Amino acid sequence: MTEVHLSDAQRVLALFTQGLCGRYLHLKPTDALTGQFRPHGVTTDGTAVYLPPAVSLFDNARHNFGVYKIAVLHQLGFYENGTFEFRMRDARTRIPNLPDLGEELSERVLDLEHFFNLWEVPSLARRLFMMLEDLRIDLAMRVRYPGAIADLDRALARALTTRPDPATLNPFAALLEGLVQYTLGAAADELIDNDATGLLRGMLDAASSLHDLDADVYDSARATMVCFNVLTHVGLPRKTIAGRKTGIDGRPLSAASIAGREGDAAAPFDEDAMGASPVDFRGEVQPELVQRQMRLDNIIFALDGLNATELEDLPAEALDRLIREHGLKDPSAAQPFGAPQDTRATEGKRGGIDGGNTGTVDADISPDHPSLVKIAQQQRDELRRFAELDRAALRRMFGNADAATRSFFYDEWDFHHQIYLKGWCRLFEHRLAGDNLEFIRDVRQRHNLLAHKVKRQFQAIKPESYLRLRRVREGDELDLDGIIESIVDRRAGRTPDEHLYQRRTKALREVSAAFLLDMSASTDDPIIDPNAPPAPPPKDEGEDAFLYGFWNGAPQRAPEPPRRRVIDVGKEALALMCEALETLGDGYGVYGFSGYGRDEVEFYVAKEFEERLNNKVWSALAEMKPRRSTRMGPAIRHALKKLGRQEVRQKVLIIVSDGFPQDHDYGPDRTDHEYGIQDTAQALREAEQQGVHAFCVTIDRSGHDYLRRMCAAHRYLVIDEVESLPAELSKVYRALTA
Amino acid sequence: MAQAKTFDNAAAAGHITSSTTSHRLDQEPWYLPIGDEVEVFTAAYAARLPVLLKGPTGCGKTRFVETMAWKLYRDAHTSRRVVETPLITVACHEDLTATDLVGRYLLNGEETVWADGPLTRAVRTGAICYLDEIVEARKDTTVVIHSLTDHRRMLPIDKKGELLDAHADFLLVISYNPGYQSVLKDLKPSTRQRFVSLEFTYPDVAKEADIIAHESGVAIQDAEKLALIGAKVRNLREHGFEEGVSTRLLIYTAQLITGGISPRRACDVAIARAITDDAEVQRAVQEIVDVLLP
Repeated sequence: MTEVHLSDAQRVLALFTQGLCGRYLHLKPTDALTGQFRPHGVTTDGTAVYLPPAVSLFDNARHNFGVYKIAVLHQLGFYENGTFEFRMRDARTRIPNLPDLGEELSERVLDLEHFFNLWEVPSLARRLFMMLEDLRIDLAMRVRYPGAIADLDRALARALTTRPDPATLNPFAALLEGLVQYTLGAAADELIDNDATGLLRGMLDAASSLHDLDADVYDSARATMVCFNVLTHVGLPRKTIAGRKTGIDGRPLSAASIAGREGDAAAPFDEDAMGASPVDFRGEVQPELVQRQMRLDNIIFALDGLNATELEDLPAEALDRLIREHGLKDPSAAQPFGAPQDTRATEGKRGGIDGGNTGTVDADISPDHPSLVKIAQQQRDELRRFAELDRAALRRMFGNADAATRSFFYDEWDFHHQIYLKGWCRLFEHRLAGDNLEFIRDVRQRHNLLAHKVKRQFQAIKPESYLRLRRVREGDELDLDGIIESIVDRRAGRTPDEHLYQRRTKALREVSAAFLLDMSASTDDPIIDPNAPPAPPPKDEGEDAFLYGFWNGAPQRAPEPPRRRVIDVGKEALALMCEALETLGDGYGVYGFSGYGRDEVEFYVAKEFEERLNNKVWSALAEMKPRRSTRMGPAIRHALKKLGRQEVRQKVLIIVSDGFPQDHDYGPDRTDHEYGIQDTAQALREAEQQGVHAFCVTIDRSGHDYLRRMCAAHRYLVIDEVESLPAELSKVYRALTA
Repeated sequence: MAQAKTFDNAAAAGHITSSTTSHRLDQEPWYLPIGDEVEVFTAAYAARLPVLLKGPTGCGKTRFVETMAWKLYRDAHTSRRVVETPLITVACHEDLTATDLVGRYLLNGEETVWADGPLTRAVRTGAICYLDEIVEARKDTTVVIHSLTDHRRMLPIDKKGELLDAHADFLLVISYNPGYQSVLKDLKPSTRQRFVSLEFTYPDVAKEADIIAHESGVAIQDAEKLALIGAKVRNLREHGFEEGVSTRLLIYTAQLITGGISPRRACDVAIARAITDDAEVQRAVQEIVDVLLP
C-alpha cells in the first residue's frame, strides 16, 4: 500500500508541526469542517490545519507522506510569512493607488475582508491574492526548509500535469489558469507565447516581483491589484441568470462597495467561469476568516483577564492598568504562532465603544474610580459582543469543529465483524480548570475521619524507606560480624571473606495509577443521605437521554442544600485518593471522560502524572461535572497511552463508573449494549497486554451483569452504597498495588 | 580541553571514585557567557555565598563551574593558585550518602584508616565543591550541606567526632534540574534558600551555533542549522522525552559530521534516537531535521 492515511500519519505530522511552529497545532481531516466553507483538500482556520484523509498521488508511500509535509509547511508558511498580519493601514502606505471607497474600517469587517471588498468582485480578488500568496509562500519555503524542496518540486510538477491547457479556455479563465501555472513553476516565456489575449505578460510581470526574497504580503496585494485590473480589461464573466450578489461571508455587499459600478455590468459575476481549480497541496484558505479567528483568540484572552477580576474591588491604578493591559489594545500575548503584535485590533477598537473608545481612555484617565470601573465594564461588554460576533461568523463558515482542544484518534473494536475500525473515534483532551476551592474544604470536612484512616492505611503499606543490607563488599559502615569472621578466618589461615560492610539502600515503590471517572449525564442523579432530613424532590430537569443507571427508578428525594450527586461522591473519593497517594509517593493521574458520538469523545484532565498536587488540581477536580454519554473504549485507550509513558514497573488503571458503556452510536443500534461492552472489554484486554492492571468500580447494582462480560471477576467491584465509594476505592487500590 | 582527571585517594571505596572527579584545570575551559552569570558568580564567590545552578541537562552548567574555578583559582594572582585541585565535582546518585561525601573508615591490613570524602577534601583545601544533581542524593546529605552553607561554614564529621572549619576559599556549588525531577525529588525550601540561584537555559540559536562551531570545528553555517534544529526539536518537549535536545547532543552531532558522517545520519543517531524511544517522536524529529537540512 502506497496510500498514506491521515489517521496513521497524524501524530508524526502533529509533532512535526509543533516542532516547527513552536505550539501545538491541530491537524484534522478536511471533512471535520461542517460549516458553509467546504474547501478543496487543505486549509487552515487559525487554530488547526485541515488535511485530506488520505494521499495517494504517488506510488510511493514516502512521496505521499511528503505531500502531507509540504501541505503542512505551506499552511504554516501563511503564519510564518505574515499573510494574516495584513493591515489595511499599511497597505495604503505601501500601495498608494489602491482604490478608495471612502469606507472607514469597522470591526465588523477585518483588514483582508476590507481589502477584498475594494474590488468589484471580492471573491475574485481573494482568489488572485491567494494564488500570489501561494507562490510567495512556496518560494519562502524553499529558503526556510531547504530539505523540503524535493517534495515541493515533485508536487509542483505533478500539479502542473493535471492543469488544463489555457488555449482551450475562454480568455478570462485562460489568464487565471496561466497565472496558476506560473505559480506552479511553468516557464513564463512559454505561457506568454501561448497566450492569445496578450495580457498575461502584465500579470506575470506583477507576480514575478514575488521572487524577491524580501517580498511580503503587501507585494502580493500590489500584484493582486495589477492582475485584477488586467482581468477587468478582458471583461469579467457574467451570469446570464440574475443571482443575488453576496459578499465574502454570505452577507449582501454594502451599497457603498458596489455603488457606481452597477452601470457597466448589470449581471453578477459568474463564479463558475473562474476555473483555475485549487492546487491539491495548497488547498483553499479564506484568509479573512483566519484573521477573524485570530482576533477572536485575542478577545478571549483579553476577556479572561477582565472576567477573572471583580472590577469594583480594584484600586484605581490597578483598574487603569487592567484596561490598558487587557483591552483590545494589547493582544500580542494571545497571538497564535508567535505572530507579531497586532495593530489592527487597536483600529478595531476605535469607534467601537461610543464616545469611550480606548483612545479616549488613554487621554481621559482620571483618578475617578467609578468612571474607570464603567470604562472597564463597557470594554468588557464590548469585547463580549465582538467575541460572539466572531464566534457566530466562524461557526457558520467552519461548522462546530472543536477548535480549542487537542484531539486524538483511536481505533474501536467492532465485535460484530471482529475487526478494529481504524481511527474510528476522535477524542478531545480538555484541561479542567477552575477556582473553586470550596470543594476540597468540604471534602476534608466531610471525610475527615476517613481521610485519616485511609492515610494511615496507606502509610502502613508504604515500604520502609531504607533497607539495611548486611555483609556487602562495599558500604557506608563496617559490618562487625563480617569483620570478626574475617579476622578469625585470617588467623585460621583461610582466605577471608570480603563482604565486610553494611549499607542502607532505598526500597522503592514503583507504581503509577490512572483514575478515570465517568462523567456521564447519569452521574447527575442525586443520592440519598440516610442522615439527612427529608427534602423537597429535586427539580425536574426533563427527560435525559443518557439516564441508564438504576438511580433512574423511583422519584428520588435528595437532601438540600446542596444536593449531593453520584459524581460528587466520585469526586470526593478521587480527592481522598489524591491525598492518600501523596503519602505513598506513587505517581497518579486523575481524569474524567464523557462525550457524544464517536467524533466527540471527551477526556478531561484534572491531574497529570507529572503534576504536583496543588490548588490547581483541587479546583480542576471541582470542575468535574456530569456531561453526556459513556464511551469507555477510547477513554481507556487514551488513559493507557498516558500510562504507557510512565516508566515504572507497576501500572494501574482504575475506572469509576455508574453504568455500562453507552453512546448514541456505540454500535450499529443504540439499544445494542453489547457492542459498547465488547469494545470496552477489548480496551481492557489491551490494557493487560500493555502490562496495565485495569480495575472497574461500578456504583450500579446491576453492574454484575455486564462487568462479568467485560473483565475478570477479580478485576471489578460493584458498590451498593454510593457513600462507601471512598473507602472501597482505597481498599481496591491497596489490593491492586500491594 | 585538557583537564586531568585524578582519582580519589579513597580508591578502595569504588563508588566514590566512579562519581567524583577533581580538576587540576591546567587550561582555561572555553565558555560563552549567555547573560551576567560570570559577574554574579564572581560576586557570590567574593562573599563566599553558596551557588545553586538550575537548568536542563547539557546546557553548560558544569562547563560554567569549570570556567569559574579557572578564573578564580588559576587566572587570578592570588594565593589560591597553590590549590592543586580547585574544583571537586561529585555526580550525585540515589545511593550517595553523607558518608560518601564526608569520608569513612577503611580497612587497611589490621587497622582502620580514615579517608576523607570529596566534600571534606574541598573543605580542607579551599576548593570549590560542585555537587551535580544534588536532589538525586539521599536526604541525609542535606545535613552536612546546611552547616556549610550558613554563617557557621563548618563540616561536622560524625564518625571522627570532629567539627571541621571550612577553609576561607571553600565554596559549595550545587546544581539541579527542575525539569525531570519527580514530585518526591525536590529541593526543600530550607536547602534551596541557602543558595544564590543562577538559572540556565539553552542559549539562543546564534550563540548556540557559536558554541557548536567552537566545540566541534564544524563550519558555522552547519552549526547554525544544528542550532536551529535544536530549537525546533525543543518545541517537542513533553512528547516522550522530558528534556529538549541538549547543547551537548548538538555538539556530538557536529562532531560526527566533522568525522565524516552525513548530517542527516548524524542527527538521526545523535538527536532523534538519543532523546526518545518513541518511534513516532523519532520519526517526527527526523522529518524536522529532513526539511531543515539542505
